[in-house]
Amino acid sequence: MQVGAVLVLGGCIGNDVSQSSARKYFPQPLPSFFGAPAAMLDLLGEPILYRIIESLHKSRVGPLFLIADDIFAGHAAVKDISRWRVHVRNVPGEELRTATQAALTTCRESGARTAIVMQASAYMELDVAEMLAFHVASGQPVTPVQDRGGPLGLMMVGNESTGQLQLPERRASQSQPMPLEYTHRQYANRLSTPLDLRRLAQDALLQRCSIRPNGKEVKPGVWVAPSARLHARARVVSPSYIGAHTRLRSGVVITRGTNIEHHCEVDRSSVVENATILPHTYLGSSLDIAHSIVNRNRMVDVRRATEVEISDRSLIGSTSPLPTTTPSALAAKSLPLKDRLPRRTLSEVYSAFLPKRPFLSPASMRFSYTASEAEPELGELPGAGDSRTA
Amino acid sequence: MDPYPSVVVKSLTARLDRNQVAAFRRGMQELLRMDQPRVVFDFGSVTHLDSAGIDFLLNCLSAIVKRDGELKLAALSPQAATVLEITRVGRFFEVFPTVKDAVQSFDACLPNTPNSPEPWDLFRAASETHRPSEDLTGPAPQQT
Repeated sequence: MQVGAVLVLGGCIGNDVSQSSARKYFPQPLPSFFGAPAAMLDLLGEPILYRIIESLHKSRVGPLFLIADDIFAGHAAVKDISRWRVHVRNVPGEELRTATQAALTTCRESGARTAIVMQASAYMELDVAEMLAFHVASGQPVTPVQDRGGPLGLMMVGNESTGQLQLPERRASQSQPMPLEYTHRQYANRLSTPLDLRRLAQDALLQRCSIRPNGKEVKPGVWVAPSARLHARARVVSPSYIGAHTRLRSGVVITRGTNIEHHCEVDRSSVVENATILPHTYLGSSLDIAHSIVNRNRMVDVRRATEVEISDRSLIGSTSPLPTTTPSALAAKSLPLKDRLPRRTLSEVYSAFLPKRPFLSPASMRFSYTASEAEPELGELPGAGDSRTA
Repeated sequence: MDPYPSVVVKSLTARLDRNQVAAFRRGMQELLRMDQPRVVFDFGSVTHLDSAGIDFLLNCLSAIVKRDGELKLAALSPQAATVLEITRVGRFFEVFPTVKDAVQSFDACLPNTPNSPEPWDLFRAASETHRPSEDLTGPAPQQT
């Protein structure tokens, strides 16, 4: 039987109605890490959102729809999703439910008699066949899914008698019986806290789930992306992951389940232990980073559940003020240049890389972007530059 | 022909202190001259580990890594695990619960079962089984 899926990237579907029954199935608002949902973050070379979609593909679920809140429309993870054969629709937050229902209708029209509706916030490896058998046997239009920790933000919809794919009513009537819940027994990670994010990275590196790092396993338990640069005196202790275009300088030690994502740099003699370093992060020299998630100049200690922002860029910071470094992206993001060069943007931006145009040199473009919006000046943190230990 | 050298397992003595290290270091000289040495230190019987022992471990690691080899630790005793964790030296090594696991790990990454602890938690597990009343530095050496 064909099973479709609708992924919802945004607040919970029923969050506009306080007593909605949908709230039961999507109990939490989307957890946010550094201002983005966890699903948008990179994990071992790819956004977690792609890992969720990959997991659904492996379970032969299709067609797939992604209903994303407008605010995520510009995010690279949503923009580059086309290769995953997913129908994407960006809608305002208050229309998530309507759009989800529309996607379910399309799903039905394409032949799926059952569909999975899930908030794209948790990573799960579904046993779709068992779930479907439970749903069909129960004969109910909606089967919520839970595990030992409670609801997982996922449900299976499909009414055998009417053939409709319908989201549950917003207000559950008192007389309506509670649906039977399917208990998920496979791997699941709710990604609701930074510790969960670390746990998922560790589980992937230790092969406890089906996520595989994007890179070559250069020695048992150590994955390195092809374009990473590791100094001969850098040491990577298994299990660990080094992402694309990342640079490890002399004397660096990466150990105990650390994943360093793409375009990062770890300066001389720093030790990174049991940590996740998100893309475009610079770690200064002689630092000791442990049990943390670092995103540019912000660091979360997962054991203490605290987040700090460090203004001293010699400690931690960004390797690049731009999310992408292509000339076209540079031009699109650089507002002063855009304002100044409305018609001849392309020709002049490309000429920026020619030596005889001092005004449009890469350095000046980079400066204008940095000063205007990429990295606003941060207030001084008392004693932020005193300690070399993070 | 096996492209990789075989794994050498070295069982450490109960006391890894200045006196024992000197003798052990001499025994390691030949091994450290090999190309790509693959070494496992069996810590099963180590009950005493002092600064000389730590220094010895780090020197061995440095020498082995310079020759593109690998040094792994196995079967940490609670005392050794405690010292390695307190000094934060343990994180520079791959640690395995048994010598067999350590030897196998040179050829393949060992998948962990969902309920097993992380390899680096072996330090914690071993430390927790170590009672505080026990002497961290092990029994006193016999006077000769």
